[in-house]
Amino acid sequence: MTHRAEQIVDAVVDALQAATAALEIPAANVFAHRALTLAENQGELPAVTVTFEDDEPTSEFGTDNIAFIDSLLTVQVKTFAVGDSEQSVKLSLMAQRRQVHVALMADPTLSLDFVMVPRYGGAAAPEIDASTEAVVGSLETTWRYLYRMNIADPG
Amino acid sequence: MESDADRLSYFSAGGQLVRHASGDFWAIFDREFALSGNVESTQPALVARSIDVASLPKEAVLEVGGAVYRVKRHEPDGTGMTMLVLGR
Repeated sequence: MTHRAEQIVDAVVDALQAATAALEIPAANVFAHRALTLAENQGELPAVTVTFEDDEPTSEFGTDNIAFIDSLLTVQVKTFAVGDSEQSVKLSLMAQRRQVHVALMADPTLSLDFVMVPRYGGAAAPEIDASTEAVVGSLETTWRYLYRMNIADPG
Repeated sequence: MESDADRLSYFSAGGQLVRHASGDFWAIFDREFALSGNVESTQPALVARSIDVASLPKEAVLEVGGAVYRVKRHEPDGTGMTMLVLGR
C-alpha cells in the first residue's frame, strides 16, 4: 500500500486520463512526476503533468489526535499546448484548464474514503514562449486535498 | 571590404534558395535545438543579405527546403547581413 498522498496523486492522474478526449490530448500524455522534457516531435505534446507539492498537517503540532493525522496535500496540474500563434495557444490552455477542473470535480474526493475535502487552489498566469519555432504555452492549476492518515502508517 | 556581390557568391555557393511571393533569395538556413521551459523545440533562422530581405514584413511566408515558415523578426548586423528569425 502506497502513502495516501501518492494514492491521491495517482487518482488525479486516473481522473485526467479518463478525460483525455475532452482535454484534446493523446491518452498517453498524462504524466505523473514528469522531470524529463517534453518533445512535440515525439508525440508528447500537448500534455498534462501532475506533481506533488507541499503536504502540510493541519495542526501546528503535526497532530492533535493519538490515532490520526489530518494533512493538506497540494497537487499541481500543469497543461502544455503548442500552436502557431499566441492566441491559439492561449485558447488551448484555457480550454484545457476548464476540462481539468471538470475532470477533478466530477468526483471531488477521487473515490478515496480518506479524502475529506478537495479545494481549488487557483491558477497561475499562462506562460507563453514565442521564441521557438512553435509557440509553446503552459498553465498550472493548484488543487488541495485534505486527507486523513493513520498516525502509525500513512498508507 | 566585402560587397553585396561578394556576399551573394558566398550564399549561392553554400546556402539554400528561399522562395517568397515577391522573389527568391539565397540564404543560410539553421534550425538549432532550443528549450522552452520544459519543452523541446527548435529555433529556425535564415542568414541572408540585408538588401534581399529588408522589405520582408513580419509574418511574411517563406519556403525553405520544402518547409514553410513565417518571419518573426529581423536582426540586421549593420554590415550588410541580416538574420531572419522564423516560426511556423
